[in-house]
Amino acid sequence: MSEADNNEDPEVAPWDLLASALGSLAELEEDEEQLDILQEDVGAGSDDPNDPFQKIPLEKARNLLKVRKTAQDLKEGTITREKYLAILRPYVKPLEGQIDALDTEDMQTQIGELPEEQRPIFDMAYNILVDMLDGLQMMREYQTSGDMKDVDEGLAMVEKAFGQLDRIQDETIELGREMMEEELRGS
Amino acid sequence: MKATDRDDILRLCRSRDYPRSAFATQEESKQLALDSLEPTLQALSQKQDIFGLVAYNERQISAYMFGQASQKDSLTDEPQTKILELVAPCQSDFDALISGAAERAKEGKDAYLVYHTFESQSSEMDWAKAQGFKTELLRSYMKVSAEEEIPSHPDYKLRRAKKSEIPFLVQLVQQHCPSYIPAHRTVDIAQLRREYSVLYRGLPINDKKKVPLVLVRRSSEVLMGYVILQPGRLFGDRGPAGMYVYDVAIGPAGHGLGLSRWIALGTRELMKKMGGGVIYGDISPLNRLSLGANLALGGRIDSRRWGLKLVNRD
Repeated sequence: MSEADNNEDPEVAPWDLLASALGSLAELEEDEEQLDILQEDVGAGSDDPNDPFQKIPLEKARNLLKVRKTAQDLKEGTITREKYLAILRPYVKPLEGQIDALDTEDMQTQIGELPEEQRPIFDMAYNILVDMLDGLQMMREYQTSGDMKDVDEGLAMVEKAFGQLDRIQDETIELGREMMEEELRGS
Repeated sequence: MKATDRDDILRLCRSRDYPRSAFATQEESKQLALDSLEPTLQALSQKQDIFGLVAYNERQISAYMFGQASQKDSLTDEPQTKILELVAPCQSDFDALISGAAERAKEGKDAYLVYHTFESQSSEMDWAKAQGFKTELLRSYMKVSAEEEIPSHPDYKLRRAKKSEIPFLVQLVQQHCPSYIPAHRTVDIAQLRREYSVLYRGLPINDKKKVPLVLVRRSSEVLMGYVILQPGRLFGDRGPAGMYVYDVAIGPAGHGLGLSRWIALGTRELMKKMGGGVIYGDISPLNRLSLGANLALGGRIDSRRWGLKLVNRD
């Protein structure tokens, strides 16, 4: 056997190994697919299309279901490691972009100008994005570790972040409804 | 070689010493040889271009060879006979088999006899030289582990080539392709330039068999050079992953900057992220610049290709 530490997984074509390696370097091309993990299909929420407070129920969150299924497929061996990484990869850059956007001075200034009761929501949103990114990165650690524990723990972080997001959405919806009712009472 | 020679050849195949190589242990080489023996013996009766020769010592088969006639050199297009396997314990057996193969090759109007040795086969290398073989290509390799630390240059990066950058590759390959000619072979250089130009113009950037990458300056994206990699398994469709360096060149903007080191390290980084493996390529021994750079960057020679010109041979 060659003394090098070789990848001998017979299911993975060398091209897939190289494609994954090219994608894992920071040298992504501009037309690399990017997916917003928080973006859901329009109309997949409440039955009333005119409801301004519609929310996608957690159990129907498409991207969460996709990430969960990808982890499950990897465990069951129905997808290769490279396919697993290829499905997760497009979610990373947009999340990094959203976190960077919240970090900017302008955004911080705008958040600071909000009513006090609304500011914690943005802090929570920021933390959720960070947790979601950390969870995805941990799931992607599987590439080098080969340890299913990274997949499980990473997925748990992603699911926890989605759960927190779901609660924030409930709070903001409730806040929004209260504000609307106050406006209606005022008029 | 006759069908009844099978058992003797199997005996020799099992008992011989196998050369050391970076690509396979001696045990693996033996297994590969044993696995391919039966298909090769079958091919003798099924394919006209496959032949087998044996040498005798006191009426027992002491050496054997398999060859394939009417091959074309991939670069020069010259017709040649390729020795697939040669097992000879002594020089006299080696010489007898080579003479037999040369006769067959000349009858088939092949211009060259081509033979491969590993660097550990010092006797066979001496015998080949004595027969008039010349080293045409050296196979160099670099082993990469998944754990090693690999530096990256702050100013340059290796990334996939874009379609708009293919003309850059075409321009460079036209300049560099004469250095690809195996040593001691002659070829129409203008024709060679045309063929590479056509080949690279049609190179798909998402090709899985030949993957074009470019070295660019991070700040300006100025193209400095390229490398074309062929990912594959070391033994056909099985074994560890490896990458063949199909082509590599530095452009005018990068001359004198030592950038070949960063292409090499960028390639090592990719191999590392693939889980480790072997990066390898072929260099003409007359291409001293490339050979020197390759060895300085950690490359080692694993095997070599020999060629024996058959025209005017006694």
